[in-house]
Amino acid sequence: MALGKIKADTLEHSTAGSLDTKFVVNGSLKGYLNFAGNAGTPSATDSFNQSGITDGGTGIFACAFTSSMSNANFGHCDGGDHSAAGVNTNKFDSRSASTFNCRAYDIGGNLNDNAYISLSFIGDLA
Amino acid sequence: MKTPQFQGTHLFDRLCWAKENLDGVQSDYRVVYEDSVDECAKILVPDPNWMACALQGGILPPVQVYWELAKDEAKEGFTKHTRGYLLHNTKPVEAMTEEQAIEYLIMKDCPQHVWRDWDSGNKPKLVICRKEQLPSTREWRNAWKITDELATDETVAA
Repeated sequence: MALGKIKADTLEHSTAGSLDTKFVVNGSLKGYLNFAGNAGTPSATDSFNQSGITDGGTGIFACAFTSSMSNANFGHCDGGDHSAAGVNTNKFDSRSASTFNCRAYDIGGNLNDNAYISLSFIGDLA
Repeated sequence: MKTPQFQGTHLFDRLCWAKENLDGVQSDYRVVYEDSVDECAKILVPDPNWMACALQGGILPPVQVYWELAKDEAKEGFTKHTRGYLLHNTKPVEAMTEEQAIEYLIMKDCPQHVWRDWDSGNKPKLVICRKEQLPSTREWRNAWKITDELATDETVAA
């Protein structure tokens, strides 16, 4: 990555109109994390803007941001996979500008170490 | 690869550079800590991309910056961070060893009441170990505790 800078407030297409660059800056994904919750201790399969995963027990995980969000009101998307235990769902538990706590459940609503957990975050950075 | 001069560059931009230029490093170290006597032990696993940044040097801010932001967020009436510049403008830390990086991570991501007096009480509240020293499966995960056999007057993480 070159470290040169292009400073612009607007991107303009020849025919399709223009876009304020704040939509790009504010609308970009600010972090993501994929991990296997059923591993002995979960480690990231892939990630961005994360410093670590904290395993808090069955189905209870937390991640921490390297570049903090501006507050706890950021958006997030969570995903799981299909496994022998059924359709997995992930729900957030609590969060701050620097951490996100996630709970993973099986289809019966029980906390579960899901085989695949995917989190992504969007919002303003500090 | 030499790290560009990053002081003053937004931390997020530095992470973009690192993601593109550095290979992730999955540490074998794990941090086991007990936050509450009523809960099972928690295990902190370093992120590979973060560890690569720590080993590279010149990317991550001093850990004290995170403490300052945490203080701000704990204040009554907090709505959003106004001192985010601390992340971006403070001189980045130099390259760390893997062990130093783990210490940094503990001070960043573990509760302060755990690591500040990890060795007070009847047994350690925090232990650094290797992945192989932990159970390989998650059976009885909610019953995992730091063993009572560890003494606080020894280097328990050795």
